[in-house]
Amino acid sequence: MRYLLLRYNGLYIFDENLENYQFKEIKLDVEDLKNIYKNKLPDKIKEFLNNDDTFIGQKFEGYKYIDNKEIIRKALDKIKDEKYDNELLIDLLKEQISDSVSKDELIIQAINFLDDLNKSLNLFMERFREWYGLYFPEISQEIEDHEKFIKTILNKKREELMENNNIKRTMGGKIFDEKDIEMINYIANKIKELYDLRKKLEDYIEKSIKEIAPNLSEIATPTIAARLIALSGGLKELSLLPSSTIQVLGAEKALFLHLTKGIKPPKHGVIFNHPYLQRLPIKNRGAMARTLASKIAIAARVDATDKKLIYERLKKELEERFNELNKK
Amino acid sequence: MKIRPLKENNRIFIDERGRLYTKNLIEGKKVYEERLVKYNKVEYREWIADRSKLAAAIKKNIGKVPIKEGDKILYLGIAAGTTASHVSDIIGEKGIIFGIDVAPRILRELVPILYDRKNIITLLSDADKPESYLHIVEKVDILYQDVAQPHQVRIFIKNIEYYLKNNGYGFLAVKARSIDVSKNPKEIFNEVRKSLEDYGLKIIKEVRLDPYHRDHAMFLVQNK
Repeated sequence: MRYLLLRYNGLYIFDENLENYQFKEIKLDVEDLKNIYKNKLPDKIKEFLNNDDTFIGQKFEGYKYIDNKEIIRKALDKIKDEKYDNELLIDLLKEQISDSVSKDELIIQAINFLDDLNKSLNLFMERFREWYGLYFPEISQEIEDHEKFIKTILNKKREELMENNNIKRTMGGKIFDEKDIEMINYIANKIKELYDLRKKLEDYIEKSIKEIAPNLSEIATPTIAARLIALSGGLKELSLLPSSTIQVLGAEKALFLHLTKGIKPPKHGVIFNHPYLQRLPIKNRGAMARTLASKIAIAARVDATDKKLIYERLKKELEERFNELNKK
Repeated sequence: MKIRPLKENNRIFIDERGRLYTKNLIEGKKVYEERLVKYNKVEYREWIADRSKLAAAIKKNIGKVPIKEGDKILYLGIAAGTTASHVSDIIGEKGIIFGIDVAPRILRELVPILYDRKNIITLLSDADKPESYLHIVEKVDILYQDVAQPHQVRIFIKNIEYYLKNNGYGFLAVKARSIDVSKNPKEIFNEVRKSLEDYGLKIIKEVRLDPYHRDHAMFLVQNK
């Protein structure tokens, strides 16, 4: 029987007691090295193998291996003063880094951008309403929704807006010069474009998340699904989490305060925005959050494996629980 | 300003104000935001204790730093290579660092450094599976580990079993918060000490890294 150790530059073939060895130099390329990482033996090695060969510590699909630490140490002791091919190993690393960028990562960037955009929009709108209020405060008070407000005042003068919105007079508004009006209008146009961008981004996220996680996006809603993936670091990572963790993802601050200072544990993290939680009275939300998190966990696990569509059943169970809690 | 070698390691240097340095292996090139200074026609890179746990451990009197010129080092959790670049200065061109990290994003930052420093080899691998780099890594003089994982002690011991030479040294940077956020760090460090001793490692020194790195400790151990 022979023991084998495959190295990046060739094959070490040891005898049974690991005292003597032969070294077969074999030139491996980046593809071969990537195969080794996937536990696949590169084809060009196979011609050197006998039937009863055993690999030392290396688990290649379809081949025998031995996990004994003493044997591994003994074999490694024989390997000395190697000349490493830096270029080859850097090329391998670069390919692995680029291979690691998955569809999840794009969704994570998009949802984080969306959150930043929302924060920025709120900041801009607060300032903009202050500014616009000097000109025509009444319309700002009348329309609470930021987006609607911007679309209403866009490219319109005060007189026109008063007529359209049935406002008889303005209290304290100042007549702006032509250039002042031009400036606020220019800004309003840019902000409106940001709202268009937000819509586009939301559509993009919804479309992408439905592709990679059809069940999860149905159960959690596309936006919450994307946030859960972002918080856990990826769909695979999310699928490995217990439902109790999923329930409080996004409420880390409260959870750590609970663990360290002993305050009450949080009932929900980002799933808080789910319509089923929003529509329930506060006292029943904890129970709903538990059920929702458990259905999300199941959906994520199916999506991370075979993506079979099972959301109909999960949705039905979720709805039953919601109705039950809604009656209480 | 005067720069002189440390008595604990003559390839690590210190100035009168207590700032640490290593001789720059690649003259004129920085790795992070460290200062480059010339003294007696030799270029040194400042080794910032707030950025590197090994530098902090030296500042906190870990004592002897058993890394020599020409050493082979397995570095788990190499990340962007801040500490590794100084180790690369210490071991020089004859030594080699095998860097392992599981996070592709941070390794992207390291790639340009790898083109300059031929004594660092880096693999995108999980340090919890030491068998996955048996085709590249060999027996090493030093194992250095800085991974923020809950089971960091298990990872350390597994890699010692595979790769650390008999009587070789191990540095283990422990981040209490990644083992258990709710426990007192002191308790965690005691547990780590006990696990290392139970495995039969000789603990040469344990230092806390405060105030440079909060709730961190560095263990220096020697293999059987």
